[in-house]
Amino acid sequence: MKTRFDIEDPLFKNHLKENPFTLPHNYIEGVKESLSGKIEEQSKKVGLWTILKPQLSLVTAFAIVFAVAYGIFGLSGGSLPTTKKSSLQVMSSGQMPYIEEGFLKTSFIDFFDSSTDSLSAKHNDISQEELLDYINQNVDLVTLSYLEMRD
Amino acid sequence: MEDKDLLELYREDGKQRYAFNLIVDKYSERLYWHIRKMVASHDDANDILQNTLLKAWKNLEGFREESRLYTWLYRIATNESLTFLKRARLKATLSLSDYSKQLENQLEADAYFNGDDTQRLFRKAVLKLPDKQRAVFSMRYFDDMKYEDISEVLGTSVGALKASYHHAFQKIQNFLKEHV
Repeated sequence: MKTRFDIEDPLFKNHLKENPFTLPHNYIEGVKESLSGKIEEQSKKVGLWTILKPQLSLVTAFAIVFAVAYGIFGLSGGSLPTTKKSSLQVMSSGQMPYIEEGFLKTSFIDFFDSSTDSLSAKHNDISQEELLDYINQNVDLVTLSYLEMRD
Repeated sequence: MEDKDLLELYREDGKQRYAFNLIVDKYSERLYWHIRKMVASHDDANDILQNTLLKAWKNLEGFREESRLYTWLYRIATNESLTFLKRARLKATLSLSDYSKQLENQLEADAYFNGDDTQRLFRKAVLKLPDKQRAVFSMRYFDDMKYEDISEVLGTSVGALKASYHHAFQKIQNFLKEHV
């Protein structure tokens, strides 16, 4: 009995190993044809992907850079105001006018620096006599008496 | 043509499709029967074979000959079969049915089965094995593969494969004793 069920027994094994299945007619040929069609189809799909891949990766890279930059600005904009806003408020209420004034004064000095002013330099060259002559010729008596009264 | 020559031909310019067709000629039937022993139905075996060959085509360019071509192809076929069975079992569980019973029924109703009762009973016993154990048993018993080659296919140690084969062998013997 034992040998009858021993699947490793050479005689029994040969019988059990026999292929009891059959294949549909020309099945393997059909597989090859079907496979060729699928490979053809795939190579077309791959072609389209090859074209799109670099463009898509470029767009993705830009999107990531934009997202990161947006994230950084968004975060810093959200965290700074509590400290920076207050200092800005102090400056705008008290210090800003002085700064602006100083800025304007500096600008005025920069633009109208007497040392570089050609008119002032000329004025320094005019003598006392020339000045008196000019007044005598161009200023009337009424004006001169008014100036004397003021002094 | 030897596998080495086929791969050399594949690497020549413009010869890829031709060389791959030769590989398909050489291995498709062998792979089909390996898959068929795993899934029982011809239609399922056909789908899995096509997927296997397509995957082989896609990945052959990156094949670095670290394993032999035939064990590489067997590995793809086995993985595809195991994935298919896993999904089918999950689907069957969700619909509250027994997938092992479905496999047996497929064998009973198979129009392409021409064997006798002993062969049918033996195939039924093989289908009752867990999927990976069935793969080990099929490769060793039907295809006379060496344990080292099966190890390359399944990525399992030779010792574990021997133990797995021994368990499968015992289960089948017991099943046959009970049913004959």
